[in-house]
Amino acid sequence: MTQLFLNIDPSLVDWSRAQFALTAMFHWIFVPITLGILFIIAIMETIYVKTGDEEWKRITKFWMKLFGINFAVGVATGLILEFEFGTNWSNYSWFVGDIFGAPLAIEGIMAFFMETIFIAVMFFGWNKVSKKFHLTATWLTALGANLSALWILVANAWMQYPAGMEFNPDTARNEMVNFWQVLFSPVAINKFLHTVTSGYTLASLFVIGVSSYFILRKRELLLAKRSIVIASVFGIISISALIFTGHGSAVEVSKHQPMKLAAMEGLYQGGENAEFIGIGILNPKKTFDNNEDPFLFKIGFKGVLSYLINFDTKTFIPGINDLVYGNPERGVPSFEERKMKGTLAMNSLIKYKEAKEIGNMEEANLQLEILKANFNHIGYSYVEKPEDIIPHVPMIFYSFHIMVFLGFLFVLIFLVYGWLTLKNKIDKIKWGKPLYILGIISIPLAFIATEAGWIVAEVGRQPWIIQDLMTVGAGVTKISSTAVQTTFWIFSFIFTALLITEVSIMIKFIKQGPSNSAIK
Amino acid sequence: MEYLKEIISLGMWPVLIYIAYRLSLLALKYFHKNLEKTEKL
Repeated sequence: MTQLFLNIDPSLVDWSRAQFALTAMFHWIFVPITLGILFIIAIMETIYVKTGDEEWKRITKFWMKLFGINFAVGVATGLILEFEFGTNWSNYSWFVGDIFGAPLAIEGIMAFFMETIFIAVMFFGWNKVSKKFHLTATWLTALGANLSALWILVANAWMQYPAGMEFNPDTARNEMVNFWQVLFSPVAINKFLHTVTSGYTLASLFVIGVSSYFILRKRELLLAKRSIVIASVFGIISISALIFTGHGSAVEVSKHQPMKLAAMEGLYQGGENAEFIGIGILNPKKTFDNNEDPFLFKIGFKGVLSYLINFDTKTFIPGINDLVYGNPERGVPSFEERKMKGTLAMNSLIKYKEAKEIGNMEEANLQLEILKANFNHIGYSYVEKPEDIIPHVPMIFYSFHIMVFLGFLFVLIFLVYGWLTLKNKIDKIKWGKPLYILGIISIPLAFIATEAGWIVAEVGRQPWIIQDLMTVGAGVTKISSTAVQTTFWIFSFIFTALLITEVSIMIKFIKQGPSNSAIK
Repeated sequence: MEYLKEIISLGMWPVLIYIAYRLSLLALKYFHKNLEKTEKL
């Protein structure tokens, strides 16, 4: 079985990864706006229903129009993403379909249906249903979109921390034994909250950015200011929760994916009083097996990483070398040790099947015990060299630090915009122009930050498709890499065309501004 | 309650949205007060 997977063409794995990454990254351009702007719209519409002020209806309808353009493309890329589990990752889907399928099915049946049903009322129900019914539909669309995110993120979290399952040696599949453990896994809950709040932050910056354009052009000032008030309040609350859940995610990563945490901080030699790197340039010559300094330049804070993980500077944080060579004093097993256990688990699975086939139940039970004892390392049987368990450190390190840096810049943007708008000075300050331009630029910056976050999460868990249980190479569908290359370029072309179309339509609608005929 | 911490964390999500809504109302009130003042000036 191991040999079968090792025979897979590495370029097939790379192209399949590239195709999935491409689809996921394009999908994630459209989703976060949807997640956040729906709640902003719902808040605006609630104010309209409560006050009866028609200007609020006009504001609500304007943002709803921008949301609508974005939503359609988000659905298109999302569907392709889900199909790729079958087309490109069929070995993975077969191995864990009994677990992974459940949250995906709930997402489709419950959340997505809920979202799509009420979105119809939201768009076409103005003046056809009562104000309160329409408002309910808007809130339910927002809830549906976010619940949809919950289920797909539960599925993703399971890949990072497989919980609530048992391996069935007869079918060689993992089966769900505890649904609640899958749903309420701490990794899943943190991931959900961190991801949706990143969407809320991005949507708030989107509203601020578009409103800045209006202020810059001295148009639609009341709409722009009211929108900024809502977006800066929503944004500051969201980003506070984002920082809080980001910390929670890092704590979970330290427990279940220590290699990812080490890569995030470029930490090769672990220890107590571990340093948090504020700014750093990695040494490109550094590898796990040489003595080069990991950094060419750094500004670090001693003990902060240990403190952040466990509120104690004495907390030991394993580095890349600890995880490769092991650290017996700290109970960190080496790669060789885990590979030995993984190979033992894989061999015992083969022997179990052979013994069962000839009816030797005593031998089968013995092999089953060995398999169970070593199952948590089974993925290591696919890995050949120690360096294969180390993800791409520079990509993770820089992505993580860009995300954190931008996150703090966004806090400042929300505070400055919020304060100046509350004081009604936003369109009157002398240094307004650079501020409005910063507001507009914050839209692409928010996309960079959120995509960087996903790079940390997904590149950081390489080589695993399921942490410690299955490598990405073992999960791939064995098809010709040329076929995957072909679809990769087709998808690249289609997605780019979709993105250009969406951005052009959005810019056109933004330039057009809210329609006065919206008030009916 | 094995999953109490996670349930509470998840329960904080609608609470955050509600807080954002209430604070938005307060902020708008303050903004409109300043808007009226500035216009009078």
